[in-house]
Amino acid sequence: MMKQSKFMLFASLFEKKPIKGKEQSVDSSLEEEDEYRKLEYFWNECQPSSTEDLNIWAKTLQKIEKEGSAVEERKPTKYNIHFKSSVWIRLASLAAVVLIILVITLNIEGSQRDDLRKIAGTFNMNTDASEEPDDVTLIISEEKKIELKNDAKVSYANDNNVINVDQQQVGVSDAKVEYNQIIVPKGKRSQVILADKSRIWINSGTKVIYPCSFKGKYREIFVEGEAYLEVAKDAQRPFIVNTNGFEVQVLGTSFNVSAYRGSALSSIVLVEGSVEVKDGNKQRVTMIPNEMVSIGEVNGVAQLKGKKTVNAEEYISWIDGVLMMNGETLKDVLVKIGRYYGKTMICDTGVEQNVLYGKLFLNNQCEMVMKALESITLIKFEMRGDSIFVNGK
Amino acid sequence: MDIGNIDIKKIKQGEQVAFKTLVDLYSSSLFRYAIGFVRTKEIAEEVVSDVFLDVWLSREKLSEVRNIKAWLFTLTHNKAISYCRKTKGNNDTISIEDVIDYQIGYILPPDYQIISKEEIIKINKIIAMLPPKCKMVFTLAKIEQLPYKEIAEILNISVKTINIHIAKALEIISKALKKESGYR
Repeated sequence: MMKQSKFMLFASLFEKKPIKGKEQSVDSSLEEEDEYRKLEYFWNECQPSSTEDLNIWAKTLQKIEKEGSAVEERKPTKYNIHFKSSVWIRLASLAAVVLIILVITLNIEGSQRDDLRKIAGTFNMNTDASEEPDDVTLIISEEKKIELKNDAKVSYANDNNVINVDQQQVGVSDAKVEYNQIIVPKGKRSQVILADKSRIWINSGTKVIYPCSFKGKYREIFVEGEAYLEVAKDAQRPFIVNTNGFEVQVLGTSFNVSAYRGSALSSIVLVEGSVEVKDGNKQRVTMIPNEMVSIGEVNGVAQLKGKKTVNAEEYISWIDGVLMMNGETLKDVLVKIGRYYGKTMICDTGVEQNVLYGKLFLNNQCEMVMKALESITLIKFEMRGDSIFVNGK
Repeated sequence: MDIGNIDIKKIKQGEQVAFKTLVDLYSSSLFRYAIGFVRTKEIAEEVVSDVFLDVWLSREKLSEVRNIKAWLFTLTHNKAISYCRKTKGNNDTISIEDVIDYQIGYILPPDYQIISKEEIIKINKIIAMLPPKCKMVFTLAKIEQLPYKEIAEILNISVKTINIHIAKALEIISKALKKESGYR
């Protein structure tokens, strides 16, 4: 009986109460103290071996989608609403202009995944900056290249294979059609709406390769540079963004991917939903909103560097022509401005570590932006053709 | 409460991001509890995702739930048991307590300084031989660290009974530890 009550006391001591009650002590012999110490250690410090990767969220989501389509209209995200209406406007104002015959045929097995990186190679991705076109260029085939104006919106319809640019029909995709490419040079931006209604904002100095319509189990695109994506939900067909070094897999979400060729660090910032990033060593990491995953290159192989919490808004502000500076160095900010306006920046090392805060509105002339910069940090700039020299005051 | 950054209001409005935070927070705990009943990873995942589907479908009533964590464990407990019942056939003469066994995952110490390797093997063997209900109580109290009052609600027994279950488990473990040092 004595024993029983002792263990009853232990049992009550070990309880994890929301608010800790008054400290209780155990009056006991030395031997019992050792006994208590071991039990307490076992109770508080020893745990089952941790569980392996769980698929609970994915499974739950699948069940919800299944249930949702039967019971209620799926609630579109705020972006979807906006997007849907604009597509209808565009479809309503169709105007047949040109018929383009697509000649690229890369046989795809419905269920197999294409090697998007290989396909990217066949598009002759020019590494040389001098070969970069001056205008946003939509490449439908070797022969058919369409030059677009800045901020042009390209959209692919799912049902009637129509390709639109700024609400003007520029072509109809053939059933045999595979991949199209869009090249956005420095100083320009563009948008593409894919056949599955996923939306891509493409930043300066970026190339994106994507199929005209999605077939098979996966929706895959290739990005070199920076893009912000709002992926339409389709739990049955994961969306995969390939870059030269890594890939991002998605079910339905919004995120920013920055993977410039020649840049030391690539990054993915998640705005909404959930994505999984896989690096060159097949290491995976799952992200939650407002997380940023950085990827660096080690011996030519992309490797996950780390994950941190960020304010995702700051990383996607470029789609609205705003550059948010939150403690970035002048050097980093100049790289972004240079890319945005297609200028080469030459900065004095004495000021390139200046730390900047605030918002820069990029819709103005590049010169105005540089003047704004002059007013917030101790620099002066000089424009000579396509180069901008920045020095300390 | 440890549901600090979960926005019940947003879940009620149908925001999946907020819901995912809830799912992520409790997935592994509920999974650990469910697998004790159903044994296999896939089925435990099914059970837990069924629980979350129910939560999503009844999200309108979410703010009426006093204690979400305890409620989730109750749902998981019931779903797991009804799964076991289904697969064990419908032998009416056997009560649930006889049909349902419960298995606890292998418990390990961070190092072997206070509890030796041999001791932990012994402890795990002994825990595995405890009665099923005692193992459930033990899991919820020790591994999931729920207050006894919440465990009482989940298992539909009194706090007193929980104390007895845990005292019993502790006594047996303690005895095993003593024997260990006595024999060797």
